[in-house]
Amino acid sequence: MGGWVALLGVGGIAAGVGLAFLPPGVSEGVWVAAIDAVDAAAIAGAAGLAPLLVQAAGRLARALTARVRSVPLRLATIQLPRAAVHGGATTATIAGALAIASALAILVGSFENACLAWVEQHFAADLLVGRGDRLRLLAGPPFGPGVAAAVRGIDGVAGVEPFQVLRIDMEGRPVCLQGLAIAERLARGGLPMVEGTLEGAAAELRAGTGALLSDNLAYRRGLHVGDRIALPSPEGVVSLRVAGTFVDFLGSLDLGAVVVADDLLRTRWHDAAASLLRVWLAPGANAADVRRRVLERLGGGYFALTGQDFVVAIRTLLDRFFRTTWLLIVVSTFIGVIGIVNTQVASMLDRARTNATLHTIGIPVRAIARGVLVECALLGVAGGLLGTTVGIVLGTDAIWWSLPVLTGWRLPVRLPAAELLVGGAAAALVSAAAGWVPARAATRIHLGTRSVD
Amino acid sequence: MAGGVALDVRGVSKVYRRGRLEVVALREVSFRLEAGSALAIMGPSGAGKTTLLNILAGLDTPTRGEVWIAGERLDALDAEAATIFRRRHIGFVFQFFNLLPTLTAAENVGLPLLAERLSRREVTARAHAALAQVGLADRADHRPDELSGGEQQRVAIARALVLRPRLVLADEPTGNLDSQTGRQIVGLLRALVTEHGIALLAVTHSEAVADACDRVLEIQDGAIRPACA
Repeated sequence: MGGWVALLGVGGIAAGVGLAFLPPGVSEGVWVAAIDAVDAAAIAGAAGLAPLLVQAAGRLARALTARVRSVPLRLATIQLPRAAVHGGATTATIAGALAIASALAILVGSFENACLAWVEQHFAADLLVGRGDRLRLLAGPPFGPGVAAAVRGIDGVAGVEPFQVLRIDMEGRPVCLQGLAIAERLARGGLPMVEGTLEGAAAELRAGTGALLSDNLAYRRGLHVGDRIALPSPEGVVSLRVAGTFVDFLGSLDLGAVVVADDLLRTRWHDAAASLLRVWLAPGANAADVRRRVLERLGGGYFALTGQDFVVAIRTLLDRFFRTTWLLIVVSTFIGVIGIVNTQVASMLDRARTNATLHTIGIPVRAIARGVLVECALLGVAGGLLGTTVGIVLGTDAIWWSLPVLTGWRLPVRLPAAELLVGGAAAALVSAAAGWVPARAATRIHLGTRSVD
Repeated sequence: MAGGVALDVRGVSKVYRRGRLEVVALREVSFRLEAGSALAIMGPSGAGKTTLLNILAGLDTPTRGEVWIAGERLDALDAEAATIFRRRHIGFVFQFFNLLPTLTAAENVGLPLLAERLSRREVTARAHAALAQVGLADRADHRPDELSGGEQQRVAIARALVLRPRLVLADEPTGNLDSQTGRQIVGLLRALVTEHGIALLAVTHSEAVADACDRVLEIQDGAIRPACA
């Protein structure tokens, strides 16, 4: 039975890795089912692999410590390979908790990484000005074209680039329609393009015959450069050629974004407002001074952030957005600790007679208890390694497959090596600390009577 | 082997207090056991045999009296020192063998040696030598569940003797064996005790075990007296 479960695990993990080499093309439901099946197989298999891993960890520890004469270490390395079922249960618990935590950490880390990289390019500006008391994750409250004109006239301002987002329907599903100041964007770093170039698309955009699609929208709708899209507008359906695709997160979330020239937004959607201004300073201008002047000119109800402040604000927004996720990580770690305590206390109760015998033949109680701590730490190391491995597979699967299928986002995987290392080390430490309870249980056994009764 | 007193029990009493109730488990127990000799203690269940064994092993302390083993007063030692003393000077043979099921015969025999911080090589060598003494050299790598009852008890005897103790305490050593195997085990124990000058104290219901000992004491209601012939 254990062998089959282990085989399932190896198969699941291998299939998880193998998914990366399969081309997409089947339906969303099939993909999601396949990914879920692979993830479930990987988790179940990891649990099945745990006893084998415990045996291997015990033997390895014994080989590595052959010359060490510490009694607790010797007891632990003798017991561990032979108590693979109980140890395996503990390891599987740790591995399960750590796998979830690692997968979430990879998911969150990769998203934050990609999103912040995009923010730094897409929203690179000396100042960002908007309405309201704070930056909004989606588009903030709109304001009229007079605001942009007023800011342009402020001493030290070299350029102003309005940015507007409208929510419209495209083939029955909501998308974010963004109005872009083409000349300003071209002059200020362009867009992070996936297909085509902004320079190549500029003519079609200015002419009102072309549009750019966010990569997630293009991926989910299967659209590429040259395809046509139809957008409803107050002036009737606007048919546009896809002139390029670009990376976009914040303005569209998983809805997807369509970018048109701001002139087209004004003429076909009758929208000349903006929800955010990118402000560029003249050479030598002091950002703090210009910011003060902007706020003075606009009066109350507006915010102005420096580029640096903006990134901090985005980080804060993302942190708020993912706070629940981090809570999940903490909860899964807590569950792991409870699991360790639970299974190891059960193991100690099972081994009451063994511990009593050890004490009777002259092994000090303290050495027995320390042996339990070492055992728990070794289980933590095994669980940490297994959990991190499975977590990397699950996290990578989620980014490579689940996320594109569900949201269209195609993110580069960022393995948070430091966090994963800390997580693995913490698993060992937490496991050893959690061993304190069963170790105490081991010392509280009525050793004498148990052994000779 | 050198003679002398291996075990000297002087006026040992044990009283358990449960609230206001006092239960006297042992009453002024005194006896001596010479090195190289064997003593059987017989008595019905609840007579105080287990309490006496626990006190002689340093697993429990007497309410009154003294226990001297190899010239050292065991009952005056703290728990840690008593554990080390027990490992070095007292061997145990249990009714149910009490081998660790996950370890091989050699690993079981080597357990007391591990605590002595000997090298792994030396532990293995001495464990194999002890197994050879009890006729199990070829079973060193077998686990308890691969051994017969008699073989398991031989492994337990090897474990008890591996550190050359001054005293072996045996709790119903044949209680879990058939009569023929029991006789073999008693014979082996007796031979090893004589050969190495070790004192053997066996708590038993078995006449066969008692017959193999030099002396038999009876315990009844916590008091000890010579057994009737």
